Amino acid sequence: MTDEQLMVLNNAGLNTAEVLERIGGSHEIFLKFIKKFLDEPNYGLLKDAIEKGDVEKAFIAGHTFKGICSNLSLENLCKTVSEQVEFLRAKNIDEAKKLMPEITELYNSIIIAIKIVTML
Amino acid sequence: MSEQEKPIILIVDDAEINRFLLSQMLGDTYTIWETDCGQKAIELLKSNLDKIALILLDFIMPDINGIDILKIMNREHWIEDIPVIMITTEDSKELMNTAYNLGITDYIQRPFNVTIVHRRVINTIMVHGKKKQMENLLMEEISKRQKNNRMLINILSHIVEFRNGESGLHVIHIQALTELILKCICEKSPQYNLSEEDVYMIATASALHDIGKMAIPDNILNKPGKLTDAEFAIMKTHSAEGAKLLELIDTYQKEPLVKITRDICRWHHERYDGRGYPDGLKGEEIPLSAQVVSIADVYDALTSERCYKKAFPHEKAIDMIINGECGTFNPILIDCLKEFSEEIKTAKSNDYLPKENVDIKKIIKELMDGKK
Repeated sequence: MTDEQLMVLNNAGLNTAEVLERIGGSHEIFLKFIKKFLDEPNYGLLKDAIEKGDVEKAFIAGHTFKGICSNLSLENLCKTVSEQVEFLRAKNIDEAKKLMPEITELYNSIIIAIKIVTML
Repeated sequence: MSEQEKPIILIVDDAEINRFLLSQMLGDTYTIWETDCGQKAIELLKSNLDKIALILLDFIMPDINGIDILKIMNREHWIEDIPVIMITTEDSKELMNTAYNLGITDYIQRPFNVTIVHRRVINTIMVHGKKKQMENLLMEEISKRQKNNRMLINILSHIVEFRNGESGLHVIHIQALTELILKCICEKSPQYNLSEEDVYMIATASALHDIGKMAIPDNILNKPGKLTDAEFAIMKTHSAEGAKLLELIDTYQKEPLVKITRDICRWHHERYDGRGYPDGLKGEEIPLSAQVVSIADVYDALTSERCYKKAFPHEKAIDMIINGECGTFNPILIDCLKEFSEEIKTAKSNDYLPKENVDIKKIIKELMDGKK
């Protein structure tokens, strides 16, 4: 991957250096990994469950999503989702709902960045 | 290494992207099986217990979660054969504690690092492999010794049988029947608290129940036709004589096997209502070992041909015992006889040989758990 590609991802909140270090430096795996994120369903599941007020489903999806974000070193997204998961664990759907716009914004920017990078 | 030689790792995680990352990290060294669903994981485990070297298990999944899978693995005792590493985003100490109590070997926290994942996986598989190797060695050794012990005891009991003009099948039947009845007691009457090793020892000792017949003169022992009252009185001394024989051997008095054999010799003609011999013991005063051998002895005598009688068919023999025609037995043993009737019939008709390595694995487990 080029420095340009890495920069686009870094700007969208993905700490590329950290991820590369953890996966042993393979750009090939890294690229496959971020492509998988485009099809990853847990953000969608989380959003749906929050809209429907289904705390349990939201917790399971949120929890899985948080793990994925942490593996991808999506630092800001991971932090916000973690806060939301704690609200969900406490069955506080109202507070969890308030965090959804921020999560969506962060999620969208990383999705756009990945799409750009994979087209480059 | 060919695909077949690579150890198999089962990854259980509901998110495809997580499984992808792990299989990328481990795929060169291991064969990776993946599933996103707890139910499928259980099915895979059930049919591949010998194949799977390690499980990487996610905590929180939609249907059956990681903790549920661990509970099932405990219930089925799979956790003893397959090590589990938990993968977690969770930092809850309580959850980790639960997982450790349910037998996980290690855990890996997200975000995971390829080197650490590799190291932990290698270590876990290696340590577990060593443990299995040790278990197998121990099993082989114990099995060899048990086989030798049983062989010597059986040779000894056959000597007694041959003098009695019998083929030696009686001893084999008694062992098989004793083992069957004891297994039934283990299932039905946990209050007796029988361990796998107790079963093995009692079954082994049962072969020697009639050694006291060495002390009975030939003309009585092998008399064709009915014994006179006086002759029968002499014949009846064989149980006490057998016990005496064993009590004379000073060296082994404290050995459990000798003690069990002695009890069986002395009391295998006692009856539950106190009307047996030589001591007229009643109910639970008679050691369970002697009670079981006693009922096995009666069944085998009924279903075998003797110089003074024909063999009764299985059903008739069982009926006679249940109806108390051969004296009174412990009701629990009567229940076992009824319940295992078919197995008993097969054991007798096939000249069934008792297994040499009666669940040695269980005996080893008892040893390791410090139950003995």
